[in-house]
Amino acid sequence: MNLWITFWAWVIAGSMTAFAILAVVVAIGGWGDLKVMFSRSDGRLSGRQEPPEDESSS
Amino acid sequence: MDFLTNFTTFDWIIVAVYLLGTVVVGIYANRFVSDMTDYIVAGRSLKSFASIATMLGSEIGLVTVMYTSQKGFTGGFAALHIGVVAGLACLLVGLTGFIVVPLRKTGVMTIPEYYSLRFGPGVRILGGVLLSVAGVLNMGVFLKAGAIFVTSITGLNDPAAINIVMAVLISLVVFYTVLGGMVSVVITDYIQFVVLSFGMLACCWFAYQAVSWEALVTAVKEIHGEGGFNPFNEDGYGLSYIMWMIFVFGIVSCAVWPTAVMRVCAAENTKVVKRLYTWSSIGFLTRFIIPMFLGISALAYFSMSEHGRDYFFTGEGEVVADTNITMQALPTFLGEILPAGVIGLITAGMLAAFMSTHDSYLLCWASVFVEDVINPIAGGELPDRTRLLLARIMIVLIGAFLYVWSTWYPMGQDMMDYLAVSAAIYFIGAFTLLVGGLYWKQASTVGAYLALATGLLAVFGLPPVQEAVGLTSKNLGFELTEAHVGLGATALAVVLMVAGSLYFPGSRADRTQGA
Repeated sequence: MNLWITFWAWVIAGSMTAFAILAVVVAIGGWGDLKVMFSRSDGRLSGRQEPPEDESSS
Repeated sequence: MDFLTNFTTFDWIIVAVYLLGTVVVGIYANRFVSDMTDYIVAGRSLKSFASIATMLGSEIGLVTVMYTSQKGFTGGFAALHIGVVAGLACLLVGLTGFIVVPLRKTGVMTIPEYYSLRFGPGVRILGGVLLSVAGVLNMGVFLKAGAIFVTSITGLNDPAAINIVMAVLISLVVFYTVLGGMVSVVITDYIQFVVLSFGMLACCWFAYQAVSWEALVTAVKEIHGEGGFNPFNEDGYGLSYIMWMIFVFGIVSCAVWPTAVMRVCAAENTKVVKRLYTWSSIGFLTRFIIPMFLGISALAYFSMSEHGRDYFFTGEGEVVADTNITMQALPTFLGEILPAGVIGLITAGMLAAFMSTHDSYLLCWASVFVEDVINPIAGGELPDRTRLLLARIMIVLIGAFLYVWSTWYPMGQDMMDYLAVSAAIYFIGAFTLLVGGLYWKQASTVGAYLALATGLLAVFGLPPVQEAVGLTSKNLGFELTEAHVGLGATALAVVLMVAGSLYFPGSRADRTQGA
């Protein structure tokens, strides 16, 4: 049982550390992406890809 | 049972300001919706970090937090094996490209579209129907989970409060999704991701302050014994349950579930697909581990207090069987340990998570029904405007169904197990069709129909259905678990796919020389 307790302690600590790093990186990067996406003043999304002509029948 | 909560008027103001803010965002986002492409995939304009935030925002929601923390509460440390297998399976999919790489190479945008390409339009329509039915049933208990969270953390003890909160929540979400589509999903997902990810880490800190590691270990030892630590122990989960979890929350949730496959189909190339999965394995691991840790903390916390023991445990010291009660453990725990102000922020973050999950799923199932069922039946000729209107009508209808289902359905099992079984109606067939179609040239249309239909057998994993048809342990002489039903139905689907293909060969791929 002690082996399992040690194993789960490492899993929990490792997960929290990894999640904290991921959260900081994605929060900063995502904010930049959203700023670009909504930067146009004509009501269109920046970087928008037009659908191919035959998309509705695919 | 009345529990103390630190939720104050100030916290209500934080929540109200947040909800008002989301409505404003929805109205703002509507400016950017000009056609079906904007509505469903935000004009395919998502960049990498915004994509990751959206994916994690959808995957780490209030519902995920509620059902995984419930699993930690009822299973102890052993429940963490689900997070480990989910992370490992996602990593393996990323390294090997199993299912996702050959699927991306076909160039399809959705799984039902792949069915059409490989097995014909009839299989696409049947697959689309099963997918939307399974998806809506799967969502059926989300609303209740959200309402239990709000009423428990705020201390709303009136029995009618849950129904009122459910009505308010579903009205808000439907209004919001109908208005803005995927554009508003992207914005709420981002806000939710930021508030909830930091909020969750803060919760872990406060939980650790309230319950020490030694107290956690002692409580799990006393309540769950060896089965609370060792997932292979038959007093806990056992081998068949672990295999079911490897299949459902490992392979299926990252390689077959539509919200994950959407990212595969939208990726630039197969290299990006493999990289996305390799890195996302961290998210798939932590979205289970952190809420489960909080659930285990709630278990230890309430086992140490008299009022907690009376409410959450039986006279013999075991966790009560009522799933509506065990689902209250995390929010009640947070209501007691978080200080005023922080609790308002966490509640606002969780509501953001709730809306984020709901709008993604409402949009997904409504789109599947319109794009993969109604439009193909109409010959694929419906104009963009009509499809957009139909998708919005579907969202309102699904919202109404969710309210009725949440108030009526008696769950009778952990929410995580209900979700696995309801999703299995779709994914048992989908997994078989994808593996058969992508890796076996002889897979035929008849085999595909048989495998898809077999997925319906998954409903026998739901306790109310087992009761209704007499599949009880008293009649059978053993307990028929959701794991037995799910694994058995999957094996049968594979057998029928092989037999159907061998006896009735021929598929669309043969005729078009595709696949």
